[in-house]
Amino acid sequence: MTRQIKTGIVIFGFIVAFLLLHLTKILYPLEEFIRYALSPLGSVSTKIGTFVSRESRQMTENSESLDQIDELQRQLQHLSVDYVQLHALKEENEVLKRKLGFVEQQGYEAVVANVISRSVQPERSFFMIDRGSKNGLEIGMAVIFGDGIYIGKITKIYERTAIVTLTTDPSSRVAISLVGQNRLIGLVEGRGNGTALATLIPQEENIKVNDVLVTSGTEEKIPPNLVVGLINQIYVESTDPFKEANIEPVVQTAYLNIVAVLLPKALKPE
Amino acid sequence: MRTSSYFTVFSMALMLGYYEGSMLGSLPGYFIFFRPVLPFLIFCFLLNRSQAAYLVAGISGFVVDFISATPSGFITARWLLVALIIDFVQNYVITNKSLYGSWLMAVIARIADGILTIMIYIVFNFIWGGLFIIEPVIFQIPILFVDLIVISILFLSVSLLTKRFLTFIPFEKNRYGS
Repeated sequence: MTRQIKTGIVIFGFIVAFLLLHLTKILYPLEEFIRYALSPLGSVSTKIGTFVSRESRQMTENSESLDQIDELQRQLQHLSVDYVQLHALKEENEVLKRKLGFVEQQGYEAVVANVISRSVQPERSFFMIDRGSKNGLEIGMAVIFGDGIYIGKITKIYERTAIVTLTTDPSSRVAISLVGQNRLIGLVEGRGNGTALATLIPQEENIKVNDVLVTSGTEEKIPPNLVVGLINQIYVESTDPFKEANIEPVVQTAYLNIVAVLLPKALKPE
Repeated sequence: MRTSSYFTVFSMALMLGYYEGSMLGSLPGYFIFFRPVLPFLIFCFLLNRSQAAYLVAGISGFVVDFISATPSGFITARWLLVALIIDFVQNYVITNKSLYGSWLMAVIARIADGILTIMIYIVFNFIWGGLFIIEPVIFQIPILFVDLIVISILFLSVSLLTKRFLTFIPFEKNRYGS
């Protein structure tokens, strides 16, 4: 028997054994341990990649205008969040005035996580974070950046890591509302390549360019009033009962290294 | 292999795995075509280090399988099988160590990887209803082109720096350099 045939038998044996043990979940603890052990270096390599990406962007564009864009983007993020918070506070205040015995809404804790890896295909938008079910995370929880910019939700969970599907991924759907309205007006669907579209917005809904879209709070684990994006173009078809709008994200997810997962306080691990 | 060689191969495999599994998604877009694992496997076989090639395929595949954000579809198995195919090819088909031979091996490796990817895609998505995402076939052409450049650089570097392979044959010798 030649060396190659022996090697082939060993490889096939390994593949079959690994698949069987994986499918029967016998290897699950070991797999979780390996994933956990690999994640710190994954976070470092992602940071290096993001750094190279930023530097490359700065080299290709005029650095001065880039700084201005970054500064304006930061201001936009803060203003959007402030605007939403202000509206939310105003509304909350009115409700409190109206209603005695008001029960304060369940609060959320933020679990900070590092990005370990990102999807390679440009049309898909996923990333893996270094927090998982052991940290109290669950599928469907909202992932945010900064004070309240919604960037996606958890779609797959392991013990110590989780996969986040970003708003721009074609499989992503999130219920939206206009700031201060607290009612569902449509959905934001990912379109790939960093773009998203607000769909199923009724024709009678009054939306304008530069309106801030926020989460509606109708999804179980996603709180209301998280900024999803700004409307930058509206498509109206007179024969269609719904209109659509292009969404401009307020944060560039390609450069994020640290994010936060919103965890209802009731689910906080011991 | 010596212990130091194991250490070098292990470190190299980890680096390549982290590059393809983690860093690649964050790097600027044009890096997407630079996938160094398969050219490095071929390079190991060219140096008659088949054990190192299998180790690199296994370890880097493991890293990608565990930390890639998108489901990679048991890439460890894919790369080990590609290494096995290249091992057969370099022992029974392309037995000479030439630049053209290494190019041919790079083409065979990429095609084998593509076929295995499609097979895994079919099994995962239609039988198990998985979420394995396949890259467009058109993507493989620039990747293969970059593979050829990488393998050429590696081959020529070793030829020129270590005189391991003959870069030219003196006139007074026959075509086999003896």
